[in-house]
Amino acid sequence: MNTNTVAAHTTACGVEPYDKCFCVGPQKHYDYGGFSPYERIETLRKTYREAPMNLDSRRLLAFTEVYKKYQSQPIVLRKALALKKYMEECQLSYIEGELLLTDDGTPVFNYPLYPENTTWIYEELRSRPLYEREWDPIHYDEKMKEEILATEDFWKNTNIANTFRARMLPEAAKGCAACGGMLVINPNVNVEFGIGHVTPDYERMVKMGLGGLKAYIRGHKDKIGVPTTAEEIEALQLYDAQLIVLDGWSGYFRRYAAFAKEKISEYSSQQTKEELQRLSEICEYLAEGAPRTFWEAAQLCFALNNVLFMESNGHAVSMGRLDQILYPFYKADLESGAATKDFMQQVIECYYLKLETHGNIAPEAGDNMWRGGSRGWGGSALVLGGVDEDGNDATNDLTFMFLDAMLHVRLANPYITVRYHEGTPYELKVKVAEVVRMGIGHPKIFNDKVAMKALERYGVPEKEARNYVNIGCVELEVPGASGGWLDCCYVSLPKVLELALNNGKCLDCAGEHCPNYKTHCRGAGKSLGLETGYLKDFKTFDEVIAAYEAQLKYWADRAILTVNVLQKAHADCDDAPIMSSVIQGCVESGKSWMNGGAKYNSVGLQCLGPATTADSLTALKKLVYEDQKVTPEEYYEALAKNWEGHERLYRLVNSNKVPHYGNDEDYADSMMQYVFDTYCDMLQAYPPVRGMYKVKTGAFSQVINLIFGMAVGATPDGRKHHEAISANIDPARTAVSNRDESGPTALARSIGKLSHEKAASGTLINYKFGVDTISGDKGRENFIDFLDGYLDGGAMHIQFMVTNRDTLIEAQQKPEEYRDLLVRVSGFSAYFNSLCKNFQDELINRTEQSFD
Amino acid sequence: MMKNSADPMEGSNETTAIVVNVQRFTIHDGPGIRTELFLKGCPLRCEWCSNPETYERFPQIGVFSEKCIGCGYCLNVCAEHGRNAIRTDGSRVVGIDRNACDNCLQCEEECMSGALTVWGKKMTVEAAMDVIRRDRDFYDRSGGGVTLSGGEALLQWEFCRDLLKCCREEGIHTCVESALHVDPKAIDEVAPYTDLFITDIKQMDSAIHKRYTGVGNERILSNIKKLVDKNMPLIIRLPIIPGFNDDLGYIDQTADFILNELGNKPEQIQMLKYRPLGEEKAGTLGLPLQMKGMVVEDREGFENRIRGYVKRMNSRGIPAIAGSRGKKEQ
Repeated sequence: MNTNTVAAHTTACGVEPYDKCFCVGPQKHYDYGGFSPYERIETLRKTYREAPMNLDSRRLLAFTEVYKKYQSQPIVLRKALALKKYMEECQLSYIEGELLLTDDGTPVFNYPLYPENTTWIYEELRSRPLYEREWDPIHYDEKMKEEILATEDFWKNTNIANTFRARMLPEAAKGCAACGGMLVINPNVNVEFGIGHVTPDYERMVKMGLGGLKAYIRGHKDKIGVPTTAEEIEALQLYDAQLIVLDGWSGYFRRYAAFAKEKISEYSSQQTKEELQRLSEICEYLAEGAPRTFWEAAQLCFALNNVLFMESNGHAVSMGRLDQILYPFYKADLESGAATKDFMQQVIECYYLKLETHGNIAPEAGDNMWRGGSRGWGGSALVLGGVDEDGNDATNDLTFMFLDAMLHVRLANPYITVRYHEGTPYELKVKVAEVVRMGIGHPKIFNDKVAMKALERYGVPEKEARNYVNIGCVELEVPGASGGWLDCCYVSLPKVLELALNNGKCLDCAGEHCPNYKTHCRGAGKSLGLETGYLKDFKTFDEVIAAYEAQLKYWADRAILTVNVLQKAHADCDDAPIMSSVIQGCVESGKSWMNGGAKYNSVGLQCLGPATTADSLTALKKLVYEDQKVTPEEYYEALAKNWEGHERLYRLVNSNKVPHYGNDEDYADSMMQYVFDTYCDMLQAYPPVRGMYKVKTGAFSQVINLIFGMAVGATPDGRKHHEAISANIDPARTAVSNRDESGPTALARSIGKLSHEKAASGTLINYKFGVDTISGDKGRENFIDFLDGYLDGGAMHIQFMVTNRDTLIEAQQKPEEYRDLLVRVSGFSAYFNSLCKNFQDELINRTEQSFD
Repeated sequence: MMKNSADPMEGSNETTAIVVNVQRFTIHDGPGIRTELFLKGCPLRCEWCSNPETYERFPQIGVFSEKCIGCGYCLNVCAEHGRNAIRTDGSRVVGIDRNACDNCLQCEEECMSGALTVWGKKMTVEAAMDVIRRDRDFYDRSGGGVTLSGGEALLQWEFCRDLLKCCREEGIHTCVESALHVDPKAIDEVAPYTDLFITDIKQMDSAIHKRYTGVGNERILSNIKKLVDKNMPLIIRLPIIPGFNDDLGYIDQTADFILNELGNKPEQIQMLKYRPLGEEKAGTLGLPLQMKGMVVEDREGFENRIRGYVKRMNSRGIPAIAGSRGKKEQ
C-alpha cells in the first residue's frame, strides 16, 4: 500500500489502530464454541435457527373481516383499519436474552399471510400440506387450515396477482412466465409479493418519533380543511388512513410495554428482569416519544421494520445507512455513560438476529429452488461508510461495529454494503479485508463515484446523491425518498437472441405440441417473437445485429407493458399508509407511496445473460462473417441440433481461439459494451411507467440465470440448451469452459469498460478467491490494493466469495458438518446447505481468481 | 539513459523473445501486484523444476490428453507434413514423438479442444508492453510492477534489456528473477534498468549442484557477487529440497557465503519449501517425472525444520524469512 495515495487518512472516532481489531474482531470461534463473544447472542442465534416455522392466520383473518366490513371504503383506509386490527390482535413474543421487542408472532418464524397479494397458499394447502415440504416445513393445525380456506372465496378475485394476470394482454403474456408464458420477460417477486425495494426514512422516524410523525401528518391534514379537488380528497383519505394506522402502531407499542412487564415475573435471572423492565419502559415511551438513547433509537428503527413488514411482504425493505442514523445516539450515550460499547454491540447483533426471524412465505417451488428463502425478510440492505452530504468521509465507530456484528451472527440478513470513496480510511479497508476473508460473503463494495453519477443522471442533486444507498442486491436509490419498484422485471437477452436467429421461434419449437403454443404463440401470429429471419439466411453480421435489435425492441415493448399493468394492479388492489408516512414526498404531496407520492420514482428492469449474448455475437461475427471458417447454414444447424454432430465447432467456440468477455480483450469486451449499452439505451428511452416512474436499467440475476437458462436453446457461444445463462455481468461459463482465464486484473479491466453509470438499477459482479490467495499480511495488503485498483477502473460494484472449492464439495457431501457455512450467492449471502444442488454446483464451478 | 553500444537493435520495441506466459497479477516475485513474463529456455535442469515447459528455447507442443475429442485433424495435418509424430491410444492423442516432431506447430492450429497447446510464442517488446501497461493502476496502488522470469530470462537478455528500459522510462518498477547461470555481460546489459534482482542459491557444494541441476554453481555465485558489488537490491531464495539441500551443512555454508562473500548485503533471504508444481506440465511434454521420490511425507515436520533454519540464519544477523509473502518490503 502506498499510504501517500490515501489523501485523507482519517481516523474514525474511538477506533483502535487497524491491526488491533476494534472490539473483539473476527475470530473463527470463541473459547465457548460460538461466533459471537456474547453468549447471549450465540444462544439466541441457535434458538432462532433451530426454531420450527409456523403458519399464522391472524393477519389473514383480521384483513378478511375488515376488508369485508369496509368494502366500499377507499383501499388505503381499508388497509389502515385492517392493519390496526391486526396490531391489536397479533401474538406477542419474547425470548430470554432479546434486547429488542416487537414481533407479530411467536415464538419465532411465524408466517403471516398476505391475501391482498396472492392466493397460491389456498391451492398449496389443499394439494400438499406445507409441513411436508422437503425444506423448511411449515406447521399448522387442521383448524387453522379450515379457517384459512374459508377466506378463499373473498380473496380469489381481489388480489394483486390475479388482477395482474387477468389484465395482461396476450401479446405480452405469451413471453411472461408469471402468466404461464415462455420465459422471455418476467416480473420478479412483485407478482406474488408486495413492492418493497425501498429504504424508509429512518432519519425522519428517529427525529420525529411516532407522536411527532402523527403531528406532522395532522398538520398537513389541517391545512386542507374541507377538500374541494379530487387531489385534496385523495390526500385527506391518505392522512386519515395514516393517522389510524399510526395510532394502531402506538397501541402496539403499549401492548408490548404491558407484555414485557407481565413477563418479568416469569424469569429468575436478575439481568433478564432488569432488561424486561427497561424494554417495557422503552416501548411505553416510544408509543409517542422520539428516541433519546441508542437503545431507544435502535428499538424504534427495528419496530419500523416490523410494522412495514406487517403492512406488506415486499422484499428488500432496506436498512439504509444505520451507521449514520444511529451515530449521534451512540456518541451521546458513550459520552454520558448511558451505555457501553459492549452493550450497544449486543443491541446491533440482536437487531441482525431479529431481522432473520420473520418468515416471508414463498410457494414450494420457489422454496425448493432457493431453500430457506422464506427465512428472513429478504433483501434488507445495510449500507455502511461512504461520505456525508458535503462529501466528507462518514466512517464512524458504528461502521466497524456493524461489520463485526455480522461476523458474530453469520446470517444472510441484512445484506451488508460498504461504500468506498477516495477518502475511505485505511482502517476500514483493513476491516473489510478481514471480514471478506472470513468467507461469509459480506460485505459487498460500492464505488461512490460511479453510483452517484448513476443517480445524478436521474436528476438527483449532488448532496442527495452523496447519501445514496443500495437496496436488496445492487439497486440504487436516495434513502427515504424513493418509490420502490427497483427490481420489477427481467429480460432474458439470450432468449431474445435465440428468437432473433430463428425467426421468432424457440429453436426447439414443437409447434402444436408445445403447451405454450395453443395458449399463447398461435394467438399472437404463430410465433413467440417477431419474425426476424433465420441465421442461415443472414449474409452479413449487420443483418444479425438488425435482427437482434428488432427482436429486443419487440420484447422491450412487452416488458414495459407488463410493468405498467403490474403497477396499476398493485395500486388498484393495495396501498401502503405506513410506508407513505416514512417516504419523503408522500405526506407533502398528499399522494401515497404506491401512487407516485415519493420524491423520486423509478422502475428497475434488469437484463439477464448479457455475457452469454455478447460472446454469442462475438463468435458469430468472428467465425462466420470475418474469418469465414463456418457458414451461417452450418452454424444454424449446429444450434438447431444442440451441437450434436458439430463437436469441433462446439469446442472451437468454447476455446480461447475465440475471444471471450472477461479477459481484457477489446474485441470481445466491446461486444459486451454493445449488448449492455443497447439494452440500457433502448429501455431508458421509454416514457415513465404510469407517467411517473422513470425507467432504470440494471444487470443482475440473483439465482434465476439458472431458471431462465432452462428456457433458452443452444446459444452460439458454445452453450448447450437448458444450461444456465451467464449471471449478472459475470463472464459466461459453459459445461466445458470457464471464460475468464486471464486473472483478476484482466477481469477488472473488462468490467471497467462498461458504462456502469447507465445502470442505476445496478450492476453486479462476483469474484471468487481461494482462501490462500488473500491470507497473511501480504495477502491482505494485496487484496486492499487490488480493490482500490479495481474501483479506479470505473466499476460500480464488487463482491467476493472466499471459499476453497474443496470445502464446498465437502460441504455438499456432509451438510450436517457445514450448517453454518455462509457463502456469497449473488447480491446476497446464504447458507450453502440451503441452496439446491444445481446452484451449489454453480458456486463450486465459478472461476477461482488467484493472485499468482 | 542511453549508452553507446554496437548493438543496432538496442532500445528497439521490436526486439523479440520466446515467451511462455504473460501472467497478470502475480504477487510472489517482487513487491506489490505485478505482471510477470516467463521467458523460454534455461541452461539448468533442476530436478524439482516447477516450469519444465521453459527448458527449451523454442516453442513446443504440449499435450493435454484428457481434453482430446478424437477428431483426428491433427493426425492428418502431421501426416501431410510428412512427420507422423503424434501418438494416440486409438481414440485420443497421448503424446508426441519428439524425435519425429519438427515443431511446425500446425497440429495445434487444427486442435479445437485444447488437447494440443503451444508452449511459447514470439513476442515483441511492444506487444509485451501493451499487456503490461494495462495494470498500471494496480502497480501504482500497490508499489508493484514487472518481473521477468522463466526459464532463464537472461538467456534472452536483449529483450530483457529493451523491455526493462521501456518500463523504466514509463516509471514501472522492474524486477528480474534469474538463476544467474549466464554470461556476465547479460547482467551488465540488464542491471542499469533493473530495480530488484531475485535469485537463488540451491547448493554450496558444486559437485552436488551439478548432479541435480546439470551445472556447477561457480558462475552463479560469481554473478551474485557481481550484483552485490554493483550494489543492486537483491533477494536470495533458498529452495529447501528434501534429499538435496535439506540439511544444516547447506544452511551454514550458505550463511557463511552471505556473510563473508556478500557482506550480508542482500535485502532478504527467503526460504521456500519444495512444492511439486511442475509435474503436470512435464507430463504434457513427455518429460520424465524427475521429482519422483521427492514427496514430502511429513509436511509439518518439514515446515518446522524450515522455521528452524530461518532462526538459525537470523541468529547470525541474516535477514531470512520463511516463504515469499512476509510483510511487504517497505
